[in-house]
Amino acid sequence: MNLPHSNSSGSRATLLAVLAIMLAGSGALYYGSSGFRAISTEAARRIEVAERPLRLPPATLYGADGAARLLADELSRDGRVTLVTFIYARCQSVCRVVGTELQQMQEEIHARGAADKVRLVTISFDPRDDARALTRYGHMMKSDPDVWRLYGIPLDAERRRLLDAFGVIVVPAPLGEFEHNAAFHVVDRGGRLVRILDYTEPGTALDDALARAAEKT
Amino acid sequence: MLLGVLLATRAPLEASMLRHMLVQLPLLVLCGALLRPWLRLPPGLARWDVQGLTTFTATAFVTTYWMIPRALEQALFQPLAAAAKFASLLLLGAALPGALRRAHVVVQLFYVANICAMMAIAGMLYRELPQRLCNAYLLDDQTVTGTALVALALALGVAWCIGNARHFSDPPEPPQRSGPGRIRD
Repeated sequence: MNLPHSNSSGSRATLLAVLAIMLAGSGALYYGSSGFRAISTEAARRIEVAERPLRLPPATLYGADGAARLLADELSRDGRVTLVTFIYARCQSVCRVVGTELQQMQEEIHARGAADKVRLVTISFDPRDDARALTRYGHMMKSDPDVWRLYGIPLDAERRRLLDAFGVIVVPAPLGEFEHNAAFHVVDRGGRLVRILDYTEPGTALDDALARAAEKT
Repeated sequence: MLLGVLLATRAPLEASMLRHMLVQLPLLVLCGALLRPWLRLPPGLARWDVQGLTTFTATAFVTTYWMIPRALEQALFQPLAAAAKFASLLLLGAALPGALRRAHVVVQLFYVANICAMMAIAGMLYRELPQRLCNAYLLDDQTVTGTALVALALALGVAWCIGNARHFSDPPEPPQRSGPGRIRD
């Protein structure tokens, strides 16, 4: 090819500029992909939490029993490690899967005699889910309150802050449904979010929680 | 002005991944190109951009960066990322026309092919993945965006070929005999 000859100072300047752009660009891509490890927000969120455990903001929960209690108290109530999940009661898709998995997890916890080490907390992000809806959902899932409790968050601001902290993003979808990133959130005895595992890996999530419960305080 | 319209329509455009990536971002580049006379880029800058190499390299990085789903989503929730998005694409638009004028057709071909290939691959990834890449966008939206990215990659490639058809239609060298292994009669 016959590129027109350009003066050498221009070539050198351009070479420098291209190098600078490449460095800056690679840096940006490194940052944007959490060090070339994640291209999705969800993957990046999981890496971040695994590296830096997260203290959760205060929130008041109301239970299926209608009683209100603080999230922090609930999570550090009895020294058990908690697996937190987010759902909405009328969900027909992902949370159905999560619900069934939680049901099996509850049985597994009983079977392993680990009810004093690990428990399940499910929080609804749908303001329409009142105590009655939660109770109905609990019955349907056969939740045993000793192992698995269901909660809602009455205050909009608190609910938003908690979802933000967990990194759960809820998008309204057609037919009154929601699309949301579903996962098992491992919260340690101190009430810190320490690990996020995919909803397709309930076994790994339970093992992780049990391993943390076995650690010395 | 177009920039004003784009700033005003941020919310509706960014509500869908398709409109965000394939309407707002390209329009920002166009907007940068239109703003060129107002930006008054100093003429000495061309010295740093022989053959448009600097601009094209930047184009490759900027387009790649904003096709990372996480980066796109950060621009939704973090003001700093949103500012970076607007600034990078406007500047790119402002620099591209000059770079295209300076660049030899072979240099252009190299970068256009590269960027289109990257875009098509990203689009196929968006189409095929069963899980959501952005927590803020629906899965259907992602699939449609993937298809549109592939289409845009093809369209850009075809548009570039048509725009540069004159370089190919009339080869400067005398036509060579058919390549080895091929028989013509």
